[in-house]
Amino acid sequence: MNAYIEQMGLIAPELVLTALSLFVLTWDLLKKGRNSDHIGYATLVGLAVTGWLLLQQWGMLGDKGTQTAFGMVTIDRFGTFFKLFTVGSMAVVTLFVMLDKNERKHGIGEYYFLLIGASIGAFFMVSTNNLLLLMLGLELLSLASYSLAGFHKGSKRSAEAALKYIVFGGLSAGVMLYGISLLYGLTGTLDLGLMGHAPEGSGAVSLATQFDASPIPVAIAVVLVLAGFAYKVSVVPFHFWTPDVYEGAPTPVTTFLAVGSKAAGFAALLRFVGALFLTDGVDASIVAYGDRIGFLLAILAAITMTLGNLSALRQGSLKRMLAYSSIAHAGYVLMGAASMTSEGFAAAMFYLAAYYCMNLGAFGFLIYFEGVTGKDDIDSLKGMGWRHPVVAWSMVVFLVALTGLPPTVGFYGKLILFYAAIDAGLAWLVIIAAINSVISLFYYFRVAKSMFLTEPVPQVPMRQHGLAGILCVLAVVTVLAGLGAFKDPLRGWADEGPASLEIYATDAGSR
Amino acid sequence: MDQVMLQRAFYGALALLTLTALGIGLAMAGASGVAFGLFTAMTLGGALVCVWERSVVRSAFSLMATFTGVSGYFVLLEADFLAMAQILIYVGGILALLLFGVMLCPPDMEERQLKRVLPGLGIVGAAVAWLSMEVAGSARWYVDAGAPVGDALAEGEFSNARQIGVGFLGIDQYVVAFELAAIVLTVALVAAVYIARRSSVDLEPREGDA
Repeated sequence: MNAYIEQMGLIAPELVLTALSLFVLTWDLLKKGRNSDHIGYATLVGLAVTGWLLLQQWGMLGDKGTQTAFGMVTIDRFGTFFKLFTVGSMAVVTLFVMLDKNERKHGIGEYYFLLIGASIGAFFMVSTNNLLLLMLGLELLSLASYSLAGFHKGSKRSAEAALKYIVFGGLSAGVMLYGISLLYGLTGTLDLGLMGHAPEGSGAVSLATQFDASPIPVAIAVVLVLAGFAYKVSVVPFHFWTPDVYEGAPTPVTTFLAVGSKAAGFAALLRFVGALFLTDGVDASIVAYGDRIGFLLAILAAITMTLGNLSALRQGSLKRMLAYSSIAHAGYVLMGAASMTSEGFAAAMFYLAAYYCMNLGAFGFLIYFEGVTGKDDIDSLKGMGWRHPVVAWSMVVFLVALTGLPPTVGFYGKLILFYAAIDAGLAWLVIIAAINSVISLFYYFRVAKSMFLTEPVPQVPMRQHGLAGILCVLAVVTVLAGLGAFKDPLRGWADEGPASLEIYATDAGSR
Repeated sequence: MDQVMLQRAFYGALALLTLTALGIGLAMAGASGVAFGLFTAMTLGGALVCVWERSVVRSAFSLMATFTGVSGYFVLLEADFLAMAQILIYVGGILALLLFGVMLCPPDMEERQLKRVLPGLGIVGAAVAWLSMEVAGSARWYVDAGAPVGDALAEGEFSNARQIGVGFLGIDQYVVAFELAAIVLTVALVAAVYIARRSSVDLEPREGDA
């Protein structure tokens, strides 16, 4: 019995989140219809406790190294980094929900419950080496996201978003499960660690052994699983759902999908690739195959960023433009995974942290702007810069960061990514990414131009001080992080992740 | 070719498929081979009818054959508990729910056009078939040397249900996944209730809705 209690301590953050979700649901039931802000505050307190526990865990992991709870949950710094990321994005999304004028307060208990449920799914997804638990976490995250996308029940667009999401999602989950079942059938284990390296007496066959015997089934299985991840992070050619779902879903939900859900997908992808191909002890034959997977990811990254950016150019709606921009950014992050080195993984994690600031900010601006004008097209932004200067200047900071220009964290994130990719011998990919950054300049600055360089259209100014405050803070963080205020600690945190995955350090000249 | 002819041709082909499956099974492995062929024919046939049939109710009913066929596989694999659970959950629960759903919905006047589905069906089917053949042709599946077979199974010293129960609650086995499944179901339940619940607020069109 003691063992149970001891190991429950390791998954305390998850337990707190679960308790919080049930508490929110019950409290909403008791307080039906009265002041829904209390539930938001309760959620924030719960998230703060979870975040504090995660920080404790981060420190504990530094002393003790990677821990395993209940044989399935891997507690390492890589997972904790992404859990902190999830909690952070959840907290900002909660604030957005509380401050969004368009967000109906009806059914708010379910809203928070589903958001927290999605976070629990993300938590388990990023902290396990076991494909069964990974799949369950992914499904929990997806199920909650499907229903959240359709949360505005009267809205046709919202219903369409939910339907598209669930159909594509079900298909990709099926594809991924097929891949997982093949992997299980070949290796006799669901544990990624054992698949990568099966010691004598573990009762499993390593993937490398199977690959030497017959490469085709292994290749097919790995590609099928990767397709599932590619869907989750909306990489071309699995991106079709993204623009419609992002547009139709309530904007705070879109924010969560673009930031929290995407990061969790990348975490699982990095862990999968890392455990199978890059950890110490995997055989040379599978490492060579891993390089080919890396090349495949590099091609996907190039196509994804190009297609995302080119499509974003033509969008009239800010929400849809941000959806395509998030596809393009998935391409940039994928560069880190494609370089197949611990530096590349760290760069991907750092870029995700940068993406956190700038994308949360951009979506926050969208919520503010929808609250003011009731529309989401770029043309109705005219003159925002003069009427709402603070918010508009914050948005300019986010746009500069999204483009990847100094002095913001977006520039620094891209720089690390480019260095990592060049070290991995992917110079052509870096050139494509640089061209893409220039393309993205056009559509990002169309927004800025619309805000500052055109005559204001008459509109009733509605000030939302809370939201403006959050945007300011995010903008200041974006700039400060770019100037180097918390660059080094953040970089240190991102470097810890791949280290805890025990990815061997590759020397750059080996390719 | 009109719809009725297509339908007849399809069922003829299905009967042929069943016989072929039984024949191959008998040729390869005797009695258990016949059982395998039968279950395969049920699984595949049910799924094909589900896609092919124009009436949604018949589509739903045909899934019963698929689910039962899959539970037959579990019997052949000596997974008694899974076979039972498959019948209880899929045939008894999910299929019944599906039929309720189909029957409670207003009848769909627009019947599905088979000809429009066919090309897509063909491409996806061919791709999956090719993948499966490639995999089945070259894979050397993992064999658990320690698993009880033959006498140990016959003497009843080994029970699936017990093993699964211990696995679900064992500290280093599947307890977390088991509990997480409970959370998944709770989330799904709340989401379903929210989506299905009717209230006056939800029926009003929202601002900015095209």
